[in-house]
Amino acid sequence: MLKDKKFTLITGRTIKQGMASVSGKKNKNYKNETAYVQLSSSIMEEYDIHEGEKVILKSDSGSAEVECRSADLSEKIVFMAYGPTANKLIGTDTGGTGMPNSKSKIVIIEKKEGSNH
Amino acid sequence: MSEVKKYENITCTFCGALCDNIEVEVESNQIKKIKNACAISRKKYMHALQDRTIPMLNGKECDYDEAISRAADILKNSKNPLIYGLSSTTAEAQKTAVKIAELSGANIDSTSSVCHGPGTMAKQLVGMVTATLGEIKNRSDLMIFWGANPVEAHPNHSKRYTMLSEGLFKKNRSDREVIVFDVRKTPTAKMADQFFEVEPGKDFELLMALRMLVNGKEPELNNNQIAGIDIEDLKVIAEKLKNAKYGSIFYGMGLTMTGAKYMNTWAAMSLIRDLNDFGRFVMMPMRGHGNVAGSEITMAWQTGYPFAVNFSRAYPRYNPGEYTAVDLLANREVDAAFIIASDPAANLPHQAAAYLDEIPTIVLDPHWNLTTDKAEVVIPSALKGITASGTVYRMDHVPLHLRSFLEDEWPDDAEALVKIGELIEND
Repeated sequence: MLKDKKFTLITGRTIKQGMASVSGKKNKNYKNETAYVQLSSSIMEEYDIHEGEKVILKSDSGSAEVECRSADLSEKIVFMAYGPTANKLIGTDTGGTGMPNSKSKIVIIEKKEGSNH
Repeated sequence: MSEVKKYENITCTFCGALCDNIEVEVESNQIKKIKNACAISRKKYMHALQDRTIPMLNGKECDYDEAISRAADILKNSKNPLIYGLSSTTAEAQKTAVKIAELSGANIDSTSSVCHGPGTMAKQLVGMVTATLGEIKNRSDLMIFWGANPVEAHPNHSKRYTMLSEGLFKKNRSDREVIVFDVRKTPTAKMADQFFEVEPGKDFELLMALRMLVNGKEPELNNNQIAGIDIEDLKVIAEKLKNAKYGSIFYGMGLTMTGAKYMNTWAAMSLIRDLNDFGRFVMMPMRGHGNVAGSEITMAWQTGYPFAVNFSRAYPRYNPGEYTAVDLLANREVDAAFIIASDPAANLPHQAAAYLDEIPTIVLDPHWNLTTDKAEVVIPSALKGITASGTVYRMDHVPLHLRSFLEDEWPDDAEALVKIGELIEND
């Protein structure tokens, strides 16, 4: 079952996210630069997801609707620029360190209902 | 016609590289030209005077002193407040924030707890051999970037201090070998001589295997691989590490945010310690915010601890996982929050940040952000390194003085905090 396939969500910095974050956190550009997910092209093919299509990412802490972009990534991970959208998925378990699982959260991908690209 | 003034050697406060070679041209209190700034820094200066906060109380504009007074009242009347942020303000403001924490019996934590805090915990366990960026630039012949992507997070770092810098003895890129370990092929990995793709969450195993190989032992294997890397490749890497005259590892949150957290950095610091039996080897965290290194230095200088400090018993206690912002907010243990130069609504896990809606929240920040939407009190402030001076610490702990070169209508963070502290103390 495709929906049972699990990925490690890696959140991190991108140059555009950095540029947007210092150009006004309430600007639309900041939201756009932190609300997409990068997937390997083989995963996009396997899930029949097209560039720019929106999907739902789900973790045991929450879910987020994000736009898909293909990238040179392993099939085990998905990448999001860190920000408010990724933080809907991360959860608050810090394992007694203060640090949430910002690069180790397990997520699944669900296609949006009625999505035909 | 208004006069055009030129300023040289201005320090950009965006990231921990603190580039201090920015040149600006100013006319009529506006920045007209910027030189030597990276793409992010350029945007930062262009946006600096826009989206400025004003004093607000419950969503309505108020006097500056009224906002200061209400902030002091909230902290005085709170039983267990949280003071959080601090990484984008000056050491002078950080010092005063610690004083307010002591006066109000607060928890005080910096954004370090959600970036390099676990690395700092590892330092407390094993110590870290390190150096200044100048020494690394001049001498390092082998540079390793582990879970770090400075090309996107610290865009001028490689040009000023590492791969592409012109050092005294190491003159250019061809004088240095560069290796990147990461779970994805980042723009930094594309600049390296060798890139090794690490299986997610396996950094600890990989670092410990390298320690074994460096010390002449063979790790036990199931499939001739560790963390997705072939053992024969690892043996070659181990020899390179041993043969480096001056090696350096720059590590990012690829080590501090993954499964083993502080134990990843412990393993890396232990490897560096072992490697100093063969040559000189140093290590440095790629600090993100401009003065996040200073937040740990100032907090340690003031309290003995680098972050996650609690003053409820009038003396400082330290416990990451208990007095850290994510835990305090997620466990709903605090009854007020004072956010200084930070945006937890954007950067903390959603459930932790959402709790700020339920408690009186004060925000001290020059710009509107996602957290100001949650604030009962908004206090505007001057712009560090643009309209306010002060001290900041680079990622290698070198302190730099910030000069102001524009005028501002609002006092700086340190002045606001001194006023709040006096109101609490004189009550």
